Amino acid sequence: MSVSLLVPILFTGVSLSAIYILVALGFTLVFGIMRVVNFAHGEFAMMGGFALLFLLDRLAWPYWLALPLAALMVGVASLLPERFVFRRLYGQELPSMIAALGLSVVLAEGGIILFEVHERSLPSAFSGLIHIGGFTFPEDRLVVVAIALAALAAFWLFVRFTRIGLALRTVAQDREIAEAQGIDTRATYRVTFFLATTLAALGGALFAQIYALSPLMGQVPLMKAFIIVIIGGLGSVPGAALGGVLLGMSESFLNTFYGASVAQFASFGAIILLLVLRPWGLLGRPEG
Amino acid sequence: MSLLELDDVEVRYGSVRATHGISLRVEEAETVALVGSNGAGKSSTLKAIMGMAPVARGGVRLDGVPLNGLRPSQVVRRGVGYSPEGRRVFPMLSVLDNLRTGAFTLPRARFTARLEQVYAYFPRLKERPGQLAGSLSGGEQQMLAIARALMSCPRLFLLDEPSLGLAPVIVQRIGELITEIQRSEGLAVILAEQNALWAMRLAQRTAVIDLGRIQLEGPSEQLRHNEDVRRAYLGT
Repeated sequence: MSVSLLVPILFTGVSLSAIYILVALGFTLVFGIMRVVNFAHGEFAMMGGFALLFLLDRLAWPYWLALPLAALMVGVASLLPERFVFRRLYGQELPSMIAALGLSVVLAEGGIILFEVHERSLPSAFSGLIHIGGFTFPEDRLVVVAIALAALAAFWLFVRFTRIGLALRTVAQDREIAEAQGIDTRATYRVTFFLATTLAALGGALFAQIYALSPLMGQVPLMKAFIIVIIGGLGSVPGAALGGVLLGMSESFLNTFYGASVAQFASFGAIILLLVLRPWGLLGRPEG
Repeated sequence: MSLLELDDVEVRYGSVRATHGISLRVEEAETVALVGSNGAGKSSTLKAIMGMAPVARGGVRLDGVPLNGLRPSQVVRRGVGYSPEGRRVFPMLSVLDNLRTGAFTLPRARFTARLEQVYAYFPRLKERPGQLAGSLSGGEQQMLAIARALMSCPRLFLLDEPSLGLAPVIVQRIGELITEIQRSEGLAVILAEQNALWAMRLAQRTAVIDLGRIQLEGPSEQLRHNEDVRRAYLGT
């Protein structure tokens, strides 16, 4: 395979991986810390796309301001279902999963009522091409990659080096004892949920920029997040990173050479295989 | 008014009663041994104080102020430290991060000074701040669990089975540390233990718990030499 072919494939792989990891990270975080499989996670990604559309199109805000604010708006709004739906169900895997499924439908249908079902595109903030070392990259994709990587780095630094980050890691390991050592686990849950939905919204906004925006678009990022966390291990943050890279890269390669159907077939086939042979994922730990 | 007052506390998990009405007083700077066999209700009593167990009846007061209905983190804020049964240090965190988790209720400005105080009791922890807690020996993990709970500067310290699964020489060392810490901090300690004779040597007062009730209470010295008590509750 020639380098001229390889570089664009790798670049597409990197941009897909970055977005996938953004979405999957929050999904795995909410499970790892609260034991909630958040089926509504993709809808928060969708809301990120619409929030960005609103800020860019209606209010004509500059992109650099609109993107982080769109993600934060969704994060803040998500504290409402956190308070009134999820808080009562933390730690109860089945009831919380069903409630999340319900919330997912409510949010998606709510989106249809507000915005109608058709797909639309976000106004493009960047349309130029950048030439690096004989290769041409679309500007908007480069921006997407840079933002996603910056957000991931910020997330890692936050969890690793701040007091709240320490609380998060503590609660993930032993909630009961964290609370009994003086850590307000309820507040920690709130922060976790906020972080998770904000990252999802950011991922969704970037996703909508590259592909399309619609109230039903949440299903795709949710499916990707599912595949990624099954590959990496549900609840494992390094696992989400590894899973995201594996999925993004393999999709990019398979899409280019064999088409989208083969890519889907292969990634879901790999999941089934993995679930049979190693159900706890590549970096997860077996339960019990 | 005592530092801690338990009045007729019943802990109930669904239809299972773990304690049937525990009444207990603990004074400031006093060590009380709570002894009894496995399942007698020792851990449930400590958890009731911490707000970790469902209290169906009765009241817990600290300085005369009811603790009922508070979440465990709020109980810690009021001045109660808790070292759980089985140590339960955070295995994937370093020794230092484990100690940080015990200091969330402490004003940030006091952290460094407090850390030095706690390290002074446990020089072995000071030697290895970066080591993952899960890779420590059992005795070191027990020391870390105690040190972690001390970081919040508690006035009342609840210790659940600190001797469990440790070699006799380590148990003796832990006992010396508990006495040293209790004296220099002026702490009140409740020591819940199956190893009754060891706990009674450390405590001025002993309460014998059985079938979810306190059956007997008095100065440890007296109970230790009472033949009936030894036969009925201490297994010697």
